[in-house]
Amino acid sequence: MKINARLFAFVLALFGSTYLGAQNLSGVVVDEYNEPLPSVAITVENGGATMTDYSGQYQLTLNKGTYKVSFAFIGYETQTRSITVDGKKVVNVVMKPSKTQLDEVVVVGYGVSRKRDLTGSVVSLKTKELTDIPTPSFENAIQGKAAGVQVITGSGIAGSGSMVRIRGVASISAGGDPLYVVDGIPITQDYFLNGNRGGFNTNPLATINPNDIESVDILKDAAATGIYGSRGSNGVVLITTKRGKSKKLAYNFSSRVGFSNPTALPNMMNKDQYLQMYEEAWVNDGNVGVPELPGNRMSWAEAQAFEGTDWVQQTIQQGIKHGYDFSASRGFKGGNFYAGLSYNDNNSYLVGNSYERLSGRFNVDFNITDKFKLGVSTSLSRGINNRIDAAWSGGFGEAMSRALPIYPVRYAEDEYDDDGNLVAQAGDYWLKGGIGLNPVAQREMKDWTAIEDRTINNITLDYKLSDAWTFRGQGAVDYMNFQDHIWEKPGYDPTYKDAEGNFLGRANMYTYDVWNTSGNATANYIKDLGENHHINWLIGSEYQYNRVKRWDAFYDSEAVGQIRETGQYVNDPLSYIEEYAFASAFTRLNYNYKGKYYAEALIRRDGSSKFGPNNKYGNFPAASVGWVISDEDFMGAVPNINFLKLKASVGKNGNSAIPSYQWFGYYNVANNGYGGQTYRYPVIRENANLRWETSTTYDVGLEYGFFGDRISGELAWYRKQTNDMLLNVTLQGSTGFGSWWDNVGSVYNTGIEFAIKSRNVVTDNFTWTTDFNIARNTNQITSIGDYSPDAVSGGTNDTRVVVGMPIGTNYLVKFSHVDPQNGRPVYLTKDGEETYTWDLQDRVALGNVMPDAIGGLTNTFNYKNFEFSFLWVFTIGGDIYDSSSKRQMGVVTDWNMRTDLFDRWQQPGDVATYPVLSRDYRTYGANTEWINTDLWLHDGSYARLRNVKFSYRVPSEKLKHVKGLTVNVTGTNLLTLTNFIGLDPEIARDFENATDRNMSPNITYLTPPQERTYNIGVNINF
Amino acid sequence: MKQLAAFLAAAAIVVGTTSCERILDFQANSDSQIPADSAILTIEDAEQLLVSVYDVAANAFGGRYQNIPEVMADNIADPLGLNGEYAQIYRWTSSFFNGSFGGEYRDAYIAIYRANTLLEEVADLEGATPAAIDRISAEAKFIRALSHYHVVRIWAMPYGYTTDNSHLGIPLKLSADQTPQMRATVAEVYAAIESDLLDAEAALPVDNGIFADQMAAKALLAHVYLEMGDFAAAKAKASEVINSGSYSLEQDLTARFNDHLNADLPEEFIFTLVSTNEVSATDTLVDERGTGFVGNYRSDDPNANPALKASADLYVAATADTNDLRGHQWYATRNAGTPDELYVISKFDASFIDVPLLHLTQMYLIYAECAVRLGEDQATALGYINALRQRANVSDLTALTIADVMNERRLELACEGDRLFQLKRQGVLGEIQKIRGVDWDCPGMVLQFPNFEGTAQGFIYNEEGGCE
Repeated sequence: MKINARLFAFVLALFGSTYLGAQNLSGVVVDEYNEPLPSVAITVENGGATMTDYSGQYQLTLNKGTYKVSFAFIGYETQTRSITVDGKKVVNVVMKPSKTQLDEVVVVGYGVSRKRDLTGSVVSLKTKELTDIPTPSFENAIQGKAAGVQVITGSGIAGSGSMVRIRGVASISAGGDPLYVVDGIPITQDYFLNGNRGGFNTNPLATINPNDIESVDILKDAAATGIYGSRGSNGVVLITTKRGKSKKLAYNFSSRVGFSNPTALPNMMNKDQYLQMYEEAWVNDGNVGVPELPGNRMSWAEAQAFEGTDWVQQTIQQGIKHGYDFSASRGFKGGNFYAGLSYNDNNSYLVGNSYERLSGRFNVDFNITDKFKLGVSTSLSRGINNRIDAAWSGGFGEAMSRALPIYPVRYAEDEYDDDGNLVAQAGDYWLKGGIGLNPVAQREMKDWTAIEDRTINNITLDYKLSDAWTFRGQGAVDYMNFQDHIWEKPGYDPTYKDAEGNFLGRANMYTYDVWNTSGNATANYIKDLGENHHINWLIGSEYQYNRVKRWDAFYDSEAVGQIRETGQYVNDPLSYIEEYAFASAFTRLNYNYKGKYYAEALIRRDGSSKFGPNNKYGNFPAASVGWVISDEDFMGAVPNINFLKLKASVGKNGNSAIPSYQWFGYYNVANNGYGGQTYRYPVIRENANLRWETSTTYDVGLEYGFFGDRISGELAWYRKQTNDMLLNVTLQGSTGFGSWWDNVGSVYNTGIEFAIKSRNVVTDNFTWTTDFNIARNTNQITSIGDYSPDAVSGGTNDTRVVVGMPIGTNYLVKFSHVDPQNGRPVYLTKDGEETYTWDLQDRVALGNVMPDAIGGLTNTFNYKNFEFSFLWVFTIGGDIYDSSSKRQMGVVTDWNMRTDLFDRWQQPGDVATYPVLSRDYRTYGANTEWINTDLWLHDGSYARLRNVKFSYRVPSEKLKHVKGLTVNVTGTNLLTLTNFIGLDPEIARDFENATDRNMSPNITYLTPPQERTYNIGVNINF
Repeated sequence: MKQLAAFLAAAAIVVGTTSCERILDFQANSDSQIPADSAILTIEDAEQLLVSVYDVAANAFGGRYQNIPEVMADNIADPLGLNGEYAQIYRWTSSFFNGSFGGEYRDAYIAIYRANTLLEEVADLEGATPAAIDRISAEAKFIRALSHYHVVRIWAMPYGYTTDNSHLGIPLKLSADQTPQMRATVAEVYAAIESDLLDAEAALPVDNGIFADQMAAKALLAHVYLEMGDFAAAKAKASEVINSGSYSLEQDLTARFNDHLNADLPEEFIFTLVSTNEVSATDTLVDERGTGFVGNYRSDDPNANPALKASADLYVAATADTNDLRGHQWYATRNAGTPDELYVISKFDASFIDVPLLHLTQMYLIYAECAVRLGEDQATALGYINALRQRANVSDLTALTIADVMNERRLELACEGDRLFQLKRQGVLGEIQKIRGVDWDCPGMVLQFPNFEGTAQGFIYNEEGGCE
């Protein structure tokens, strides 16, 4: 904070200064986003030429007179101005993208392509779009900006990851996340490396600094992803980091500071409300006398006398976040470099929770000779996550569940047991129900830090053999080291005691490191045969080896810091190693005739260690064509259509995102079995036929540009048929095994995507641009082989796999209404008949896990140096299963309740939403306390004002010492429109495994809501 | 030419990096794991696999199985609370999410799978002699029959529920084949059990240490025949065991569930799951097989609050005769005379108990019941019942009725997992209609299959809806 205050003073000082330099003609050229545009060619008719520098500035010395000056830059309309120079003259120019938006270069697998030449479906996002919203991890910024890419931002827990789904979900047990590739290297991105400890999945992408990213290109269809073969079926996200461009040494500094609140707060009952409702249930059950409270931890009188605790308020705070980025870059004759350093500290609204990231990146390219080019990219980052228990594990989750408002944080008076012994002193934590019932004690007696170090490095060697032939070799290491340290103070767990009965603390360490190396070699042949035939042929091979090593250590001691302080593990660490490798060869041939007719064919052959000897290798071909209709002569007669391209593709992708070794059958050998004898037994069943999950995708797309690209965009239809789904199948118990991986059944996804960009107003001083995209995806399971819906278990999910339904259907008993006569819930049987009995046999497939449509709407207004933009994201259709409400609003148990429950049946004739209160599940016709019904299934549609940004670029003539200065104010999640009665309709809960993640994205279980943030930032170029 | 050379170079790179098979072969890094295809090669490997068959069976049948029917019937007091698995079973409302008993279910089939693997592979192994093959196969069949027998009694309506026993039983696994299996009929299941036990009886050795021997097969056959209502066959098998001369009644009633760590097993034990507790300087072997009993019943600590306590009904029956040692030695009253009076069971008050799955007392009771039902050899039967009564310090009977035998059976085998099946047999014969006030054959009298059993399409679950 201190640093930022000083910085602010500095910024204010700059405002006051004036610009005194410059002779003759000068100015700044900016792009449509008001960002300085370097290397713009400025030509003066009869008077020389120059280029803008890194900060978009130019300067020309001209004689007095009137000139025609043109400003030209690839991808932008050339602007010609008539300028009269008399003394010093400042002309600032805003460049507008031309129809040659399509000349924009996008990154494709193992190369780049002009957007115009693409036959596949690719969305490209640039730095600006990735950093305009203050998110700790870059993938959050994609939300609402790419059609067909669903990004569900993680919960409000600092460091949480997002759920990214490209064109729906096509897998059940295999990972459904896209492949992430940084500068050509597939990186490790596994949310389950640290399991689900504490109700939270760590996000390996959070260590990547969004400010180091030049572009993110999202490959969607088989024509684009096909070159990644077996890895591409969930889409591919290509991340390109920044490299030096400007001729002068350029520095950039940016900083952002802000604070955050939860987007919603739970409506838990206070003490009096809780006691009233509890007593009502007690009486309804026919009990008489003074009610007994859950667990008998206090008497009714004690509870009544106590003033009550608001546990939610005990676990939240105003979160403060601040971040600083500094970079230096330069292009020089022999190459270029980029160096970036960043620090980001994000304290969430949950007390004790923060994510700090310190990262550095250095990218350099050397042109060794005309033919040899060497590129090195390296990054090093450390993420420090101060952890707390969340969701089912404690903290805010306990505040919404078992931490009752009748429980105090601390004893008000000394506490004695029945025999008169002092058991606790006034001021001690109240721990009668164990640490879990006191989120404050749990947080303060537990010191929990996760440290993640990561370095991603690659070295690239390019050799240009001839005009046609280029060879590239690339080698990379992506190394990640993760340490989860948990120190529980003495007394945290009352069962840890020494011989004298003193409490012991406990140190726990869970660590893993991931060693991910890869190398690829490609040869590229580009040749124009005559004027009209253009060929681009790529051939290459790749090898990737990945090793995960884990070890855990525990230590009980009064001196709880033992492991931390000495580094000595008292227990032998348990070590576990998991390896896998891919070996691949691929080739791709692009051909176009006159830049009008395009064709591409590719094939990749992959081998994976994960699959059985019968199916170790797989072939993944794809073919696509494109036709630029607008270049046809007959289109010349059609006015206002400046670009029209039709494209179509078909191809096959694979998915292999399953744990290693699953095809092997194994026996364990152990000593001291029955009768003390050595014994051996099978543990995993062999499946030598285990093979890739394959998807065949058909895609048809239309790219358009009207009115000189004032309106442009893309329309696409696709159908993805996935077969041989990889399922972690629960085996029939009578087989003698628990589960195994099998290729089972099929699913299809089909959808349409529509994106439009409209430049509504374009004048010199004012522009208004609207970006809108919407995508609809439906999927349906068409077969699950010989297994039944119960064969696929997904950890905590309450969803099932049902043929004829989408992946992850809620499988619930239907709740009909509350009987006005007796207050009992009335359910519907499978056949639709009313019944008082809740029976699992009556479960039916209900609810849509995936929304009907998703999209985003961005409006950007530029007026002179001001910019104002806001982004709405929306989800239409799709249900949310509020799983925790079955306990918060069902049978009265040891959980606190929500005030929604006031609308319950109380006397005959009441028409109520919720049934009569009871502590006995039999009142609800059930045979267990927590019953799943569609009473907890809600419409999850929402529209959310995801981001509002207001920025001001200080005119360069007012600047001294620096070349560019922009200040901005942003707010995220300021407004959410929804009918959802729970907390936040945008949910990415903690998941147990990939199946859970694929099947239950609409389940919330004590999941903390997202954060609403307010930020102020500054960006300085010098 | 230059382009061709370049192409060849590129092709070489591709081939060079992908043709090497070895770079794609990784196996789990663990010394204790052996790939399945090299795990069972020799007869020694088979012996080790056989140990694991006993190992998993001993885990399942050391009380965990026996407690289920006991709680369903009338020997156990209401395990208060609404949510415990035992409470659900007590109320006959088990559902397929009843995870705890899924473990029991699966364990029996793990034993069966391993037994089936042995049966299929043992003949071809290195070092396999005809004698070893016969013995290992016989032991495998014994455990397979024992496991099927335990499962079918808990998860299916009893033999005799339909006249031709065409009602649904359980998945019958007679090979290591992994294709999903639907439920066989009860007739088919019992036919397979009988066949396995007859084979085992023919091939098991007379003496086989702690493992199953010939008399174990005969004793289990006696149980199975009784369950099938084949009283003549049951009586014949029981008689063979009784008259083998190998067993005699243990006179100390507390010895049946006690540790015998430093002593021989009682003379009446026919087949026993043996616990071990050997801690030496070089090795520690702690292997407790009766935890299913001990963990739920043990009450020798005065503050213990065991999960399972005796019903008043059982306690009254056991103490009806004030001299009856079975009442004195196996039960205790707590909070006597108060509204909170309850009866704890002290039968399992020991650590490292050995679990006699088959013992001579059972044979006496089977013989006596069959003799009375058949109207044969009643004097011998009376002698056996009186031998049990003398041990319990109660006076001899002069004549036997079915009710007498059934009462003795209940008292002797209380909490050993027999009571429900005794009552169901009587239900089939029309001798009783109710168990604890509800129809003996209401849906809740069998356990619901765990949900993972229904992972095969077409699997038919038991009817739910309890017993009201």
